[in-house]
Amino acid sequence: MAKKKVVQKTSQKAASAKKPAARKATPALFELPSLVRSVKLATSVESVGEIMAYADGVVQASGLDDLQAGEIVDVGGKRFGLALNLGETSVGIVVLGDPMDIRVGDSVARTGRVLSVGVSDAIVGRVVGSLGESLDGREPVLVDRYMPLEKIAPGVITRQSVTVPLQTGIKAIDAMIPIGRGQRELIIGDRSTGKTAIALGTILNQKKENVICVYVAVGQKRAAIAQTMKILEDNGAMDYTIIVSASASVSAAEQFLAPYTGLAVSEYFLDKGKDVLIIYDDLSKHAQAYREISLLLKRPSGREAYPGDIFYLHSRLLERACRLNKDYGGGSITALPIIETQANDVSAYIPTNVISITDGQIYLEADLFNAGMKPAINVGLSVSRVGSSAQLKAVKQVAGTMKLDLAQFRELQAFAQFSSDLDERTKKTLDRGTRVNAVLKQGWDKPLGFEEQVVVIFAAVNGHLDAVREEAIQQWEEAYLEYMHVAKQPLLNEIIAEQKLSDQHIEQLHKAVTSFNALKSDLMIKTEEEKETANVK
Amino acid sequence: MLKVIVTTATPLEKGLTEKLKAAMNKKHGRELEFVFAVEPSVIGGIRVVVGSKAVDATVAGKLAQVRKQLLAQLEK
Repeated sequence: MAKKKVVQKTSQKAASAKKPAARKATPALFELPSLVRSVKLATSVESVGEIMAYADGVVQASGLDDLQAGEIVDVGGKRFGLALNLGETSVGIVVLGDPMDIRVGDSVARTGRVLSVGVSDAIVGRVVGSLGESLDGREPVLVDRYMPLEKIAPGVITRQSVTVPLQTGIKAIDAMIPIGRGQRELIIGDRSTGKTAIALGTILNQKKENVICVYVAVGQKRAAIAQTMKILEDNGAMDYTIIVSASASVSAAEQFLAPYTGLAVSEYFLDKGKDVLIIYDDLSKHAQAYREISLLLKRPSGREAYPGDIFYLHSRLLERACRLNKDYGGGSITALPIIETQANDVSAYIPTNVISITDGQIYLEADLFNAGMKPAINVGLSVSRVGSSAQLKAVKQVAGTMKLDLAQFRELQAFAQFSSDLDERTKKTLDRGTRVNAVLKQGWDKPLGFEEQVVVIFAAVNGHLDAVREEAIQQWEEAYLEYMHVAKQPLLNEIIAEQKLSDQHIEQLHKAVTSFNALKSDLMIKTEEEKETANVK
Repeated sequence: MLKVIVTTATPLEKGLTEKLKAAMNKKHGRELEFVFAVEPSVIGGIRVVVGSKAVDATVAGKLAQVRKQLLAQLEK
């Protein structure tokens, strides 16, 4: 009798419960009787507790004796929380989602699950939140697999060293601070020095590279995220990009989780043997969100009021970037974390932490940016610890002399400011340095293929630009690349295919630049006299 | 002392409460404090909470299970 009653009540309840999903679930409506019959009823044994206090997104609850750390907790039946603190008499739970109607005395219950995000191939091109919810006004993301947010990084046996380059399309980076697939390269600098621009430029350049890109926005303005999305859409980059967004208006808990969500999404593609690029923009805000949670949970605070496990927060995140070997699918996750410094202070707590975790950093300076050097990369302070073994031979061939030219140039530049009477050799080094430096300037949304980078840098380091007027270098570069594509495409194709410069290539390149320069006499320094004045400048 | 909260839709008969108390004491073997609550919203059946363990055999609990399982089916 009791059973029958249950079934009757159920059909009513199920019908009303179905409304939100009705659009998608029309076929299921017809199967309702069989569905109801398939329901398995059992006396449930649950671990429960009671909310003792709620403040600032953190619930203190009694009970839940056998709760596990990091477990999802059902808070009042309407939302979930994440158990972060397990105490003798109470547990600390950060609330995920809307905390509006939490009451003291509400019940909390274990779910036995850990945080995970539902992913499928259909997630590409979408904007999702920290819990995998759709944020772009489209249907919820289809789920193929649930990927755990917290996971131990791949072990030594499964890994392989970094050997394949990840082309950013930015000359200064690909030539001097090369990034390999599976590497973790930090982008660090003050506010508005072009950190995000480098990250976005790199995403744009992956169009032909068969790399899935994940852009994680932490604590950013919604307007900024909308702008980023527009840029990616306009450039056709959303076809291979996923945005995970936890804007400044969502809870600290969700901001803290966003990088892990992005990583879980990346690991879905890693498991399929794909190469993934993930950008954390930025980890300073991430650290601040975690600091907020930790302070609210009354964990002891350390330097700059960050909790003791702030290093582990970032190291366990970045350790999961990897290049797997063939036996494990051969996929990779390349991580580009971004850190915002205050007044160029790289010795603050979070910057030093992340610098020490990553395999190198790209250091951006406001002074360079203001002087018109874009990207504002400080070549002297930027390093890539593992990327050089992944650099293409052709790039390595031309870039080797460039680093030297620039180092000499910087050394002499300081002197040159004081004296106008320089000897011929110094003048020559300065001239060369100015031109090599100028060649590294590049619009962030104009990524270049490696063959284009090679031919431009080749011309600069071999002195073919010495005769070009300083202010006309950008113009020269554009015209030169156009010329190469029109007149010398076979040579470019050969460089792409062989990925290195043979003696024959070098000879052909010398000829090509010389004949191009002969065509463009309007860009050249004309007379000996003009040259003198240009040098003095 | 372990607290035991027993929730039913209508008050339990005297005999039943004594039986329940005896059974619980035997199972847990230590002093228990019983609270008998009456909540019509559970519709029928019984719900016993011992410490942080809740054993739910109420009609409302079963309905919640039905709802959960059906929604899970629909999402697939």
